[in-house]
Amino acid sequence: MKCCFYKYLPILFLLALINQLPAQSITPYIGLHGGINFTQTTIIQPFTVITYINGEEPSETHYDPFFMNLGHQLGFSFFLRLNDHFDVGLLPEISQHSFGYSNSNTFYNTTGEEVSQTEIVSRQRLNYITIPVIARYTLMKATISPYFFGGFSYGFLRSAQHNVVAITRLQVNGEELEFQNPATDNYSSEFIHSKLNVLGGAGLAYNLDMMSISLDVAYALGLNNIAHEANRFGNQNISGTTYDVPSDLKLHHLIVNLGVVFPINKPVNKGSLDCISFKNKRRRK
Amino acid sequence: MKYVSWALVFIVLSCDIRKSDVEPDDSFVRVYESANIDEKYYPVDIIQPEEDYYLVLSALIDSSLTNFPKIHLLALNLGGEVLATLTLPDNYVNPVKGWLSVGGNNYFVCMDDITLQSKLVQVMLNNNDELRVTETMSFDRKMPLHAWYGEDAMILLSYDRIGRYTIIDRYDNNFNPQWWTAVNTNEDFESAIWAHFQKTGKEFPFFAGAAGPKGDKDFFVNCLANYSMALLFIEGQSGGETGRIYAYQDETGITSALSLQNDTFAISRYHSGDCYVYPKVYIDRNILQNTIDFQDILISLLQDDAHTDIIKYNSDGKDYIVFASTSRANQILLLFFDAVSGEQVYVHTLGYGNPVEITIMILTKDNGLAILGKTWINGQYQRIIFYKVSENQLELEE
Repeated sequence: MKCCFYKYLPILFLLALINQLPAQSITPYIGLHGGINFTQTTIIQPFTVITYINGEEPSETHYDPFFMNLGHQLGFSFFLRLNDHFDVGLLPEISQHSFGYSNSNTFYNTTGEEVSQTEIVSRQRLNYITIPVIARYTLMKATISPYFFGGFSYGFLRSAQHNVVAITRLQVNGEELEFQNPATDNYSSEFIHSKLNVLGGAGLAYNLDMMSISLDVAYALGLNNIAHEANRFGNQNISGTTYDVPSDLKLHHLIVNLGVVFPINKPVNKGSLDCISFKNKRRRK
Repeated sequence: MKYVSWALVFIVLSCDIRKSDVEPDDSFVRVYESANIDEKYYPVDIIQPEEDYYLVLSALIDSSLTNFPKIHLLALNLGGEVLATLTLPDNYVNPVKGWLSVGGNNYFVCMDDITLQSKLVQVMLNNNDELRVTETMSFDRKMPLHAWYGEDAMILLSYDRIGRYTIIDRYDNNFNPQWWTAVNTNEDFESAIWAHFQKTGKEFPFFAGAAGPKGDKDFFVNCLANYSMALLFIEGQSGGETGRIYAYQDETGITSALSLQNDTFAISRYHSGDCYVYPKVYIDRNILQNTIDFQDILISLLQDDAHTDIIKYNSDGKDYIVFASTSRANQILLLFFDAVSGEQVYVHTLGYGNPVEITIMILTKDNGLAILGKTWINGQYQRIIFYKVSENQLELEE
């Protein structure tokens, strides 16, 4: 185990805090959440198969803007309400993140005329089991209450798919001929299993008698390189067809979630959600 | 509650987020690209002279008005990135296979474009990562075919187009001639050799090597002899021919040979298109034999008359014989045979989609394999491809 232990101290501290709380003061909530996400990439170090030998500048890889990189997530929500303002939550989910990029090369003859162009258009989809652990602060106890939250998420890669098309355009007697060479392959081995993000966000909760509905937006900042360095050149179906290999990169996500949670064994007069049926039973006694 | 907490701790801490032990130099594939479609690159040979760089020798056909392919040099760092490139002046053409590492210096043999004279060129990479070349000397031979250095001797193959001979020269460490042998080809191969030089016809698998007990090395050369390609066994001191494996015209021939011990060889051959390998065969170097005298292994996956290279490889204390060749699926196959039993134990495949073709395979200083070949970018433009395969990538059973 070579990972930096200090990275996980906030989580350990949070868990230790939960363990120390008296059980009767905690209201657990359970529910579902789901939504969409947009992925942004940070390239730590680019890698490529194509290497120019005559001083030409390598063509730049253009990564799609984050709003084109649509993904989704769906999962369970577990919250522990510690007091009127403070919750901690565990939100295990399945999530898919996608990102795309393209790269083109132009070829010339000796007289400098453009003869052909090759464009590589790639899209990768990574499927994770993600476990965000968050602390949530609710500003006020009301029917509609704003809240802020922050925490960490650990993603475990389930699968990855790479779709790529190599497009060759030839100039022949003023006409353009286009050839397409698509390739799709399992890309799971090109990435490591783990993805760690630190996240923060804000949202609104609509508190009803028996449930709370929330809508929030979060930004998850990627902390680690997800490329598998040992397997970078391992997928020859992709690299041999298109010369595309994974660069060292981090993934960041803008996440929009709609959720609903229900209280379990909710104590009377605790928390922002009051369970009227419990109160009525107590009054009848 | 505590169980959940500790489960979470376990999940988080068991992650594989860490600095990888894998260096970018361990394994990679590089295609060396030029935007000029009129350039065709023919890789010839690769050497790793020092711990930290490679030299690649290539023939280059472009729009220049030379009679033969020009010479292109690449200096690469351990990750395959380009440190320096150099294209030699137009009068230096036709680089022949065989980096010569003599006394810590690196040389190759090429040809004068007009006189066809053989030239020895020294290549240096200075501290500023600049490639420098110096013509060290001219040999008194024309039309060089192959050069080899080992066991304190340099062997140069050339063709005498007037007398129709293959000339085999031996030089010492200072490139002083020691002996030469002329082998009658009995047929005019000049036009075929010109096509070989100009990459317009069949490329002959010329090669040379040393055989026999240590300290008393004899040589073998694969060259044109008596109407066909033939593997000749040459006595080391005198240059006299002791035996030969002959072939039938250009229908059959030996494509590579490696001396394992005394008279035991690993060889590959082609016969009317089919390719055969033999990881361990006894060859009597003092008799006349035919290429079909061996009960060897047909590798039907390989291209017709596929070029093949052989090296010895050791991993975890176990010896292997590795053949590298080109398959009909336009991939490079590395065939691993147990050096003791002769059984095939592993196949490693390189390339997919765009075609690749083997030129040469060498052992790197980190006990990996460097494989140099040709590829066609998007199936069109002929370029150099360089695979570095690390020892860890080879799934050899312990």
